[in-house]
Amino acid sequence: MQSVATLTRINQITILIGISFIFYELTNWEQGIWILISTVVVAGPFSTFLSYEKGKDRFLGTMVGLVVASLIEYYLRFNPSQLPVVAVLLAFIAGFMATRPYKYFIIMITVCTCMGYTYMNIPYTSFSPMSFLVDRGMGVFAGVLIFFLMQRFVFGNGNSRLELAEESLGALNKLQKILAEYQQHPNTVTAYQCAADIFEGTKDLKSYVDSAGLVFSKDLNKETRFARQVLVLNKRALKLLIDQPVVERSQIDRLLHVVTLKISRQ
Amino acid sequence: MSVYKIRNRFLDIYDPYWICRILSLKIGTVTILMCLCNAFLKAPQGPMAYMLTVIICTAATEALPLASRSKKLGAYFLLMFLLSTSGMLFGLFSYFRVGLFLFIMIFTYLVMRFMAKNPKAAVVPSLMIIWGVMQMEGGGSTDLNAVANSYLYYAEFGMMGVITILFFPDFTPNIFKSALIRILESDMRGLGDRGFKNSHPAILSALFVIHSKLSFLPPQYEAFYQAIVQFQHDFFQSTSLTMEDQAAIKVVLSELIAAIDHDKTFSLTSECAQAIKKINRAAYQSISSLVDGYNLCKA
Repeated sequence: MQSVATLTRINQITILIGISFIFYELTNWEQGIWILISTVVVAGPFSTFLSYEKGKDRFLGTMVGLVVASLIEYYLRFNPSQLPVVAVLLAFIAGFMATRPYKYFIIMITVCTCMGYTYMNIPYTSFSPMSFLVDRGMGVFAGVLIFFLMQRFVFGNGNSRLELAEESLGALNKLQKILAEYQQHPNTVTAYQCAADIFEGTKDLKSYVDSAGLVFSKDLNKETRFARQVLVLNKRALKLLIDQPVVERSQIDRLLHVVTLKISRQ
Repeated sequence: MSVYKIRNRFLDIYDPYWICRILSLKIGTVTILMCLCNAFLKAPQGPMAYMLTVIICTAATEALPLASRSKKLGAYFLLMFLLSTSGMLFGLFSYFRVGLFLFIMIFTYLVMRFMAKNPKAAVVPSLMIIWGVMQMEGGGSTDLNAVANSYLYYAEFGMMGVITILFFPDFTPNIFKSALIRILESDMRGLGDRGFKNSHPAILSALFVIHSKLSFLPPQYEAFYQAIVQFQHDFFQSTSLTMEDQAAIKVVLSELIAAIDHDKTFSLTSECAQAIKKINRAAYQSISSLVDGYNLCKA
């Protein structure tokens, strides 16, 4: 079942896409579709926190990608028969970028999308590098701008707070489950497995807390404080489980008690 | 130096667990096949839509935790259907501007409402919307004849993805071994450093990767995993390592890494291994059980 924050975000994304579409239709820009593509991509990660980060990276990455794409297209204009070789090379590099930070990944995606492989069947399409760059650049800028303006002045921070609170509570519930699991099978292998799960399970929350300054300005609100407390509890669990020669069961019990109390207070 | 070797000093910086290498090889393979396919087919629009769809769907079969080839094929067909159908629907509505506006809003709401249970599961509906939007700027299928024709082209290009999934080698053991090498390298760096703990992110990440791949590997890897955990636990509890012990252990661990890299069995017969056996029996035991676990997987 979807949470309240997720449902609200769905409504926000639907409105964002609708407004971008209207902007695209009314301005009738050459390559204006990039406005819509950019808005969908930036809002795509769903979480407001990740969207803010993604918006910045999207703009920078796309600009670099456009420059690279125009250089490649310029090269292919004189060597059209080499497109399959370039396409395969790009595919290999794109695979490598899949787990890199979004900024680098989007460079490759922009290059692939711009190349369009259209040249494969019609290699002598007209090509003017400056309009190629400017048309798409304007589209991306407008798309990212629509997202930022809507997020900052229309949607506000209410849902971001709710999202952070839900993520923190989710991480706390996960921690409670993991500690209870360890209590049932208290051995070394389970301890390490639980530690690895805790480490992976808090990655999202860490990135949320890191982006909190960007989303909530500089004010430290109660949701951010709670998220930081959850991170501290997770760190404590990690230390108890694998950094000591012997796992102290009583300390694990005490931590589980604290986690359960925190959950019941929320 | 081959890209197929588990260790590669250039690639390991960007791809510590072999995941990008597998993705890259798979995407590269399917692209080569599709370029060959394109030499004989004349797609009704630029081949980009077909090629990118097949590339994304093929990459997804590697990125998603799917244990068998049949499950990978199932996920591939489902994704191909969802992405191609999204494109077709947007294409069909692209002539009616008000209708398209209403359709985009309704489509976005419905796919997000019913396919994005949580933020992490929202990738597929987001891709469906992007795919649809990409079909709007001309070139999309605007009537049912064109839709049928496009589906046939998706099927033809899609066959290249099926061939890649069916015949692509299983590199999961490489991910497992690569993560183990990262742990051993961290251990070698941490030797003698009192501040180095098992809760170091490099070790926890590698352990998580190893555990996540266990269900795709033969049962002896489960025993190997347990040996790795036990080694890691014992190893960092032994505080009585002298400088001599540390030097000998570093040599033995680097020999073990080389054996894993060359995919060969390993035995503790070297001088350094025998020296550890004499001076620190506990450390020798923990390395010995790790080596046994490794050799069991090689048997």
